[in-house]
Amino acid sequence: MIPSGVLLVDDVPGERANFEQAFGRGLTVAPSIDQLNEQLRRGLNWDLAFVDFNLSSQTSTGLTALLRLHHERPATRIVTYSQFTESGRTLYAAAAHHWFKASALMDKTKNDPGTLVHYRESICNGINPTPVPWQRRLQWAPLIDHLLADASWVRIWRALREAAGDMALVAEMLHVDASSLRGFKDRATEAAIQFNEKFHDIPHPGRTRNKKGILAAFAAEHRHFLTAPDLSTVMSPGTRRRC
Amino acid sequence: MGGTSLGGRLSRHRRNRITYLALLRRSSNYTMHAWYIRVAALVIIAGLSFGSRSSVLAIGLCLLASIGSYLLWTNERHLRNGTQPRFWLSQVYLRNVIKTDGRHRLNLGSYFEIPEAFVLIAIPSWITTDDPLWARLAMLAAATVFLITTSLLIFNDHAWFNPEESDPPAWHEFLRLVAGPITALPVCVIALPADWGPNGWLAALAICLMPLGVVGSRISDTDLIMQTLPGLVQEESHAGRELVINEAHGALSTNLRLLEQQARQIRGVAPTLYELAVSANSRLRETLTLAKLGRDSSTSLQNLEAPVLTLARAVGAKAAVYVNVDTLSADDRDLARLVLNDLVGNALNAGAGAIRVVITPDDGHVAISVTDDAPPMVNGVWKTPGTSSARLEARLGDLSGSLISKQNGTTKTVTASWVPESE
Repeated sequence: MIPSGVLLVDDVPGERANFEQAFGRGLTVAPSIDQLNEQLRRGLNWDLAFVDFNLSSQTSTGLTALLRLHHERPATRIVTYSQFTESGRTLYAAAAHHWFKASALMDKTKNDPGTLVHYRESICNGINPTPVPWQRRLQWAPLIDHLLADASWVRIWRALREAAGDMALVAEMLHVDASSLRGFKDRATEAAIQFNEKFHDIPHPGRTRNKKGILAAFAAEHRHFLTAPDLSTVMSPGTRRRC
Repeated sequence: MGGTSLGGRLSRHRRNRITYLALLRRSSNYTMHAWYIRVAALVIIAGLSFGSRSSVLAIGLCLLASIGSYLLWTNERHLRNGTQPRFWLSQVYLRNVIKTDGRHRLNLGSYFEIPEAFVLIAIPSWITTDDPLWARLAMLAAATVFLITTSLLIFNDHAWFNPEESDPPAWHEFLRLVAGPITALPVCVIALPADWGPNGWLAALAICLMPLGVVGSRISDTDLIMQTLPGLVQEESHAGRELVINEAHGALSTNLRLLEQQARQIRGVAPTLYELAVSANSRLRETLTLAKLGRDSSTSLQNLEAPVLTLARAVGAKAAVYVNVDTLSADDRDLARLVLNDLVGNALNAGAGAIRVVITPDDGHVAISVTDDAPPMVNGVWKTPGTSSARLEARLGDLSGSLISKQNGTTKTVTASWVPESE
């Protein structure tokens, strides 16, 4: 094994400047899943990996990178790294925390070299450097399993986005009976309300019949995550289980 | 849009610029389709009249009834070619069409076409009565279709969707509601008293009632389709706008953010560079708010919330922003961005989990208050030389302003105020 270092999984070259300043020669950059796989094949090993969500790829996102690291480098500590005001990033944070046991979370706007070094030192010392308000929010990360209770729900969320919340149209698009989507509608609406409340400070609407509006807004707000090409592969607990 | 009169209130839901323009664009083709149908109807009636003893009268009446269609055709031709008619009646017709276009007024063509349709209905009913029944019924059907096209050109006209016509007479709206029966009624009145024989009367009745279904359903079809059009156009244009904004944001956000970080490190020696970097980064975040439906301008002061929400989201803090100021000059907006960046950034760095920002006018000043729940500041940090608070106070002092901090139990409020430029 080659000595440990820090891995940055991010496709944007500009992002590397602060990491290079913070970690110098100990930094490995994987701008794509192919390059990450290549580095894994070469036996590179890391203490810490900062994994961005968007890798500008038609086939994979940071979720695949998390899955690969989860299987190939289980000892590598993960930092969920993204700009969390962007679409779908809070779901990514929840998924990384709950599915892949990410050790910490860092927003890209806070990636100055000093903070990066502080993150590595804290994590190596067993301290969670994630800002406290984020730590409170991430307690609710298991809600991701309620939003995506079944692998088939990925298709429904995708169709829902295209159908602007119209379940009848979703049923038509998926060639299923509309009544078979009733369970999804009820459970996903409740999960979306709770997720909005815990992660986005959107007050609980109380008893509402506007499930269509809630689901449509949620699907639109989180479209980048819910339509991620690798989501259905990654979300399956069987896929995540280590051999 | 939509006046206070009864007619205005009744038609308010329908009047929209997008639907109006859509129908205006189809107007010429729609008119020409109607014209083709009318010509076919005229040919059928004239052709089937040949076998009758009254064929000369019937064909003569058909020629008379084709004046409106002739005028319509020449008018469309001149409109499409951008030429001027030479015949005086065509000139009057064109002037009238231009004058009544999009207005709640019948144009000259309708005054020709309605009586022409009545004449055509009268031909199989009262003139060519010696023709076989099937021929008379075919002529009656053709004449009824002629009237239907006239009715639809009137009741499906773009004028009914024109948002400028906000106060139409209420009776116009009622008339449109009963357009089907109104069209069917004259056909029944003219045709049914005629002698159709014991076998023909029911068939004639069925033809006479045809406008009831055709006119009514075509009008409601148009209304239903047009009802969805504005929302659809808005969604599509919004999706396009969102794509452009996201692409621009994706291309610039990393560089601007890194630029701001680098500029912060040399703020002491290059304050202007730092302020420019803060301004550029904040403005980019403000433009992101345009991806939301209903946000039309990045210069709206409400958009000052965008950089605050971004800063708060980075650490997972809650943030609420209230903008009570109507306008700020470009320089004041830039100063507001700097103030927000400094005060909110400091509060979050100090560990705030909830932030409340109020931008409000205050006795000739504009005041930005940031309230947070971070632990109280330690001594020696607030306004000591070289700190961002000291720099900000100096900057505000140049504009007859101040920077004040008040600890209030578990919360702290920092207020920056200055005299804004007059717009």
